[in-house]
Amino acid sequence: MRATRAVALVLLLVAVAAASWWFLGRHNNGPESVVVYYAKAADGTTLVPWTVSLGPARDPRSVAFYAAVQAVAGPAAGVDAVRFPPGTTVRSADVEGSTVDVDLSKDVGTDVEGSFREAAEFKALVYTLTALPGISSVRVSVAGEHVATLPGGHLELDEPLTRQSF
Amino acid sequence: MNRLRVRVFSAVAALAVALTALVPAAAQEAGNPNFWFAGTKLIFERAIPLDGDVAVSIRDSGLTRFLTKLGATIAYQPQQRYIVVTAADHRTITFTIGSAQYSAGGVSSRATFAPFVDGNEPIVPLFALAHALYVEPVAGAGATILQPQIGALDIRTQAGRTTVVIRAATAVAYVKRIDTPTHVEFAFSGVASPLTGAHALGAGVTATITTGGVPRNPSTIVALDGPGGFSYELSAATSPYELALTLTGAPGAVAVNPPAPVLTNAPATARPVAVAPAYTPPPPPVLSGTVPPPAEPPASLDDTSPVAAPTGPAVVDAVTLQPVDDGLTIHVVLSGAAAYDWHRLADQRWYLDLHNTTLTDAGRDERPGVAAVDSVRIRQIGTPDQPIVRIAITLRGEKTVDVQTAADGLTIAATNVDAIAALKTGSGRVGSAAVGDLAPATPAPLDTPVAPATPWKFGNGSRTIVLDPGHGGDDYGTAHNGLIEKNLTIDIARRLRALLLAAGWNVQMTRDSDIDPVSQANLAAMRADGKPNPEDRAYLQTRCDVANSINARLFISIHVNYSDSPSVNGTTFYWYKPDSELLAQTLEKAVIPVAGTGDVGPRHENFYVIRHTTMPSVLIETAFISNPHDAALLRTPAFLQNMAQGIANGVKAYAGVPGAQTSRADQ
Repeated sequence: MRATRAVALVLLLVAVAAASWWFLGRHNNGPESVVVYYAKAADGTTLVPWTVSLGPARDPRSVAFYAAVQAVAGPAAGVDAVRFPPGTTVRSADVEGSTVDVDLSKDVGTDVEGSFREAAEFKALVYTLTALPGISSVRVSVAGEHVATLPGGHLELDEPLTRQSF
Repeated sequence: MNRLRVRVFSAVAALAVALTALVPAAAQEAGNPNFWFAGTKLIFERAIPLDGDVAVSIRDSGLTRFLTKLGATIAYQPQQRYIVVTAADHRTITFTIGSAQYSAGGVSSRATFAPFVDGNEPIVPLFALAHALYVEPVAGAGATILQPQIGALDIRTQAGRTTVVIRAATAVAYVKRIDTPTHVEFAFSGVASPLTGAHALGAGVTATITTGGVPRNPSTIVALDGPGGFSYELSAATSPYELALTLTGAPGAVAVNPPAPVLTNAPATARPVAVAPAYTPPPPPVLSGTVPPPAEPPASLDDTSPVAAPTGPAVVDAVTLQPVDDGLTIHVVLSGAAAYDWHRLADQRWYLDLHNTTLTDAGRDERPGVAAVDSVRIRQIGTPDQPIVRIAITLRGEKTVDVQTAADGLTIAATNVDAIAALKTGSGRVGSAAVGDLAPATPAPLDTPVAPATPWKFGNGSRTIVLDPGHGGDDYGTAHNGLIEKNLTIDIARRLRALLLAAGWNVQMTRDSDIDPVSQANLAAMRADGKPNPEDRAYLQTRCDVANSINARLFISIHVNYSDSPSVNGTTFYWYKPDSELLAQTLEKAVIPVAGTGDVGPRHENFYVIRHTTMPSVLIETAFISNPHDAALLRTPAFLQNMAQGIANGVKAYAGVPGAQTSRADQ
C-alpha cells in the first residue's frame, strides 16, 4: 500500500514537473526573429525590411529593446540607408500596453539638419517597433526626458508616433 | 555554475576595489591582467580571467575607452537580457544574459562563458566581444595585446563595376607603396589581418594580403594584381574605418575565379553597394525669363454665388446616407427654403452647395463602401453672412448623380451607372418655396482644367496668409557649402511676401529678422502645464499661434533640407492634416516647373508647425543644401526669387484671389 502511494506520488510529481516545463517553455517562445526597417537614403521614405534573428530571450521587453537597438543601428555599412546620428543608442525600451516607450541617448539630437533624416530615421524606428505583435505606437524620449521635438527639429514627439504619423 | 562565477567574480572584484582604494594606479594593474591596445595601455577597473576569456563589466571605464576607439556603442537595459554592441560598420553584436551563444552581424558564435549580472553589473566576455569587433588578443611580454585587424573585405559588383571595401577595427591609416597598371600595393599600419592569402576580386584583379610588423605595432599589405591591367579609384568612404576602391579591369579582362565576399556580415536581404550611384543632376533650372502662368481656375468653380437669389436662411437638420444597390442615396432634411447649385468636375468629384444655409451638426466625412462612391464630405463653408452647406461626393468613375427635391429637402442619388455626356452643373431651389429646376446652368467647357483629384477640403476665407521662415537666431538650421538655412528661409519668405502683397493678400511673418520667435506667455503657460520640454514647444507653438490667433487663410513654413547623401536633391512639400494635402499638391505643381528643382513631392509628416496650426498648412523644404546642384541654386538670387514666385503661383491656384470665400481647390 505504502509502495503504491509512493509510486503514485512520484508519478504525480513527474506529471506536475512535465506540465510546468511544457507551460514555461511554451510561454518563453516568442518570435524567433524581428523585422527591422530602414529608410532608403535615395528618398528618405521608402522602407526596406530585413529580418534579424533573436537570441534566446523572447519576452516582450527584451524583444522590444532588441528591435529598437537594431533599428537605430541600421543595416550594415555600405547599405544606402538614412541613419541615426553617430553614437545614438537605445537607453531603454519598455512595453506599456500597445505602446513602446523608447528612450534614446542625447546623441539623437546632434546634427539635426533639415527634416529629411529626422523623418526617415523615426519612420524606420516606428515601423520596426509597430511590427512587433500587439504594438501600435511608439513614445520617444531623449536621455530620459520627453521632448516636443528634437533641438532644432521638426518632428512632433510630444505624443506617441504611429505608422499613420508618417 | 553561473552563480558560482558571480560569487568568484564578486570576491575578486571586491578585493580589487579594496586594493584600488589603497594604492589606486598600482592596484589596478596588480589586480588585473595587463592589456595594450592601439599603442597604449588599456586599464580596466575590473577584468577577471574566466574560462580562457576575460570577464569585464559593460560599465567598466576601460571597456568604454576600448569601444570608443573602435567607434562602437553598447546598449543594455536592466531587467531584460540582451546586451547589444553596435560596431562602426553598423553590425550588431548581441550577447544574451545566461547564454554563451552570441551573434555578430547575424553570424552565430559561442563564447567560453555566458554573460551574467553581478549585482547590477552586466558582465561580458571581453575576448569574444573584441573578436566580433575585429580585434584579436595576442600574447605579448607581460601583457595581452588587443590587436586591431583588417577584418572584412567586402566585394560587390554592380553594373560592371567592382567595389572593394576594406574594413578595419580602427580608423584606417595607409600609404600607397606601389602603383603600376598591373600592380598596386597599400600598406596599412597598426593593423594585422586574419585574411592573409589571395582573394579574387573580379575585373581580372586579385588581392593578396600579407601581414608583418610586431604584435604591438602590426602592419598589413594589400596588393592588387591584374595581369591584364586595371584601373582603380578611391571611393568616398562612409566611415573612417574603411577604404573603398572601385576597380575597372582592362577590356577583355576576366576574373580567374568568381569573386566571393570575404567575412561580410551585411544582411542577406539588403546586399550593400558601397558606392552611391552616380548623381545625375536634374535639368537646369529656369533662372530667368517668364514664369509659366499657373493654370487659371475655371470660373464656374470659383463662383460660389447662388445662381438664383438666395431664399434662406435655411437650416440643414440632417443628412442621411443610404446605400442602394451599388450606389448611394443622400437625404438632406431642410428647414426653410434655399437655392442650390451643383457641379461635376472632370476628376470624378461632384458637389452641391446650399446657399444661405447653415448646418446644425458638425461637418463629417463618410466612406459608404459602395461601388459608385468613394467618399462623401459634408461641411459648413462660406461666411457668417453668407453661409453655405456643401455636400461633396468623390465618385468612382463618371457615375450618374441625380438631384431631386422632396417635401422635406433634397435627395441626391449616385448610381453605379456610367454617365454619358454627363451634365457639368445645375441649380435649383428647395424648401417651402421650392421650384424644381434641374436644367443645367451654363456648362463649363469640357477641357476645363481641374484641381488634382484629392480629398475634399475647405478654407476659412481669411485674407491673411502667414509665412514662417524656418529657424532663426541661435537656431541656424542646417549650414553647409557656405550657406545657412535661417538666412535662406527669410530671404525666400521676404520675396514671397512681396509677391503676395502685390496680389492683394495680407501677409504676416512669424519672424522678420534674425530671431527665433518665442512668446513669453507661451513659455510661462507651457512651463506651467506640467508637460515636458516646455521651451521647445513654446518656440514652435509661438509660430503656430501667429497664424491661429488671426485665423489665417494659409500657413506656409519655409525650410532648407539636408541629407548625409549628397545625391539627394529636390523640393518637398510636407503636410499633416487632411485639409492640407491639396495645398501641398497644388504648391508642388506650381513650384517645380518654376524653381527647376527635383520633385520629391508631397509627403505626409508629423511636423509640429503643420500639425498645430488650424488652417491648411504646408512646410516646404525648398532644396537640399547638401546637394551640389541644389546648393548652387540656393546661392542664386534668381532661384530664391523663382522659388518665391512658384509658391505665390501655388497660393493663387489654391486660394484664388483675396476676398473669395472659397476657391476651386477648396471644392
